[in-house]
Amino acid sequence: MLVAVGRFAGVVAFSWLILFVLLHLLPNAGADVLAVQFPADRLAVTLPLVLMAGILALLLGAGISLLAARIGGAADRLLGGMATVLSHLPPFWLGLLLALMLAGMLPAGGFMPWSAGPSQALASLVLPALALGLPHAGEFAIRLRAAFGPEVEEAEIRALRIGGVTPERARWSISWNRALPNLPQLAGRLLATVLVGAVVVENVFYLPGLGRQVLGAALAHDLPALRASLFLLVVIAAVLMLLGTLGRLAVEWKSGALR
Amino acid sequence: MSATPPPRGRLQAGSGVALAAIIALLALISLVWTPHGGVPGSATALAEPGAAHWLGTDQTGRDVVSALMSATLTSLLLAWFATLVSLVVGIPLGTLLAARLGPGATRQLVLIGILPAALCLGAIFGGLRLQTTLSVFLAIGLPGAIAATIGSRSIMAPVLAAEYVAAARLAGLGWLGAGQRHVVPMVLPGLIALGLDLLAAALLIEVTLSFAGLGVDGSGLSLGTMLRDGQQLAQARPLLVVAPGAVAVVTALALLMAASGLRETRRGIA
Repeated sequence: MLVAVGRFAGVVAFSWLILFVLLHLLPNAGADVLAVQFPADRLAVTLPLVLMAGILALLLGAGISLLAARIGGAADRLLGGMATVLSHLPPFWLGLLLALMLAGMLPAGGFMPWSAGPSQALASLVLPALALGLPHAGEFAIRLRAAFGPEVEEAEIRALRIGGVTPERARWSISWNRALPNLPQLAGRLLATVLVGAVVVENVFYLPGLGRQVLGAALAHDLPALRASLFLLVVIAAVLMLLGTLGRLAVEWKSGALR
Repeated sequence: MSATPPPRGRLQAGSGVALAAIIALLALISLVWTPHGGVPGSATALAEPGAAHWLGTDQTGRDVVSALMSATLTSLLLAWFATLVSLVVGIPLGTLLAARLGPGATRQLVLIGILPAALCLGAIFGGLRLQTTLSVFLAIGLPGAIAATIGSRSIMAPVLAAEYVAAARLAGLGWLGAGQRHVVPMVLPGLIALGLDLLAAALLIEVTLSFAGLGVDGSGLSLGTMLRDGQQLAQARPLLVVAPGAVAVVTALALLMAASGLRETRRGIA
């Protein structure tokens, strides 16, 4: 139990150490964030986009991996292959293709501000969220499938069978208990990678988000703006991963693994 | 221990390698021959696909098939060298970690492990006006080396700890001899598969970085810059956007297929 606590403490300490080093590598980064003015309007584009894409990836990925784990055999292999293909479509290219195919039905460029009405703002985020979410759904499916582990053995479910549980349910609860501690951490990492992936996708769809600011600053060689925006991006990603790790800690605490 | 691996893994590895080799060969041929030379202005701009130009021409009057062949070469070469450096740094480090500390994390997904870091590094190097080829190279190579370290550690650890290696050492075989006879043959397919995974990831990241304007610059021609130029004309000429991306994705998937086939073969033997 102490080993597990130590491991988590190590992970948390390590992520803060990286942040600390970053802070010192990028001089005045904190001051720049304030000087360039906190980009609330940009976060109002990026965070909803990340949330939409993240939820899509979580639901679709979980669906694929649950299906694969449940059916097993050839379907498991097939779904695994599908998830691999999905996870290797570059989000920006998928965005270009989606914009080509669905441009008539949904806005495929630009952003209607929230003040114009949430439905229009949300509509302009649908295609980018699809482009960003589908590849990450494939990735999440692969990771979650791995967390479910190999097929449950007959010996493992015997104890539950004696308690009067059907074999189906027993198999299920064992797989689920294997995957559960990994789930918060996987979700945190997923959201962090979606956030960084948004940098390029925002550019495809001309969305005025944080990622577009990062890329614009890099292309214009505007170092203060680059420092400020990249710093904010990395901090948000690190916080998301930290939340995931804390979530895992909470799950393991509740299940008694740490006590 | 059966000597013949299951045919499925071997077939998969073979077809993946064959497909990737055909694409690489077409890219290499572009050095000496392309259907139309691939020079801007050699044909009418934005010609429709037809018998003369199989995929049409782009806005500079360049035959798209010819441009694709040379662009694939640029992208593959950049990805190849970045992967090579990742492996040269990562495999010794991973072996050292495996020997000293034992197995680490389980195998990570290579692309997702590298992409976020590569994008951030690409933005930093781009902002610092680093020479663009070098910038792509470093942005892929640095996180790639870490991924190669993690990957090779998990491949090496079980073999280094295997009893037959200890037995060979007890029987008087030196480190080098034991390594050559018992370790290398066991880990080689896994390491090659790791390299193929890295190569696929590196190719897709190069395309992404070049598309974002952080990679190969305006004068150079890579799959990413073709996509960047094609984006403006996507509605009129969808092929200018579909073709370069499809080449990159198909190449990457062929490499992945070869990698997973190799792993399957290994599992069959072990």
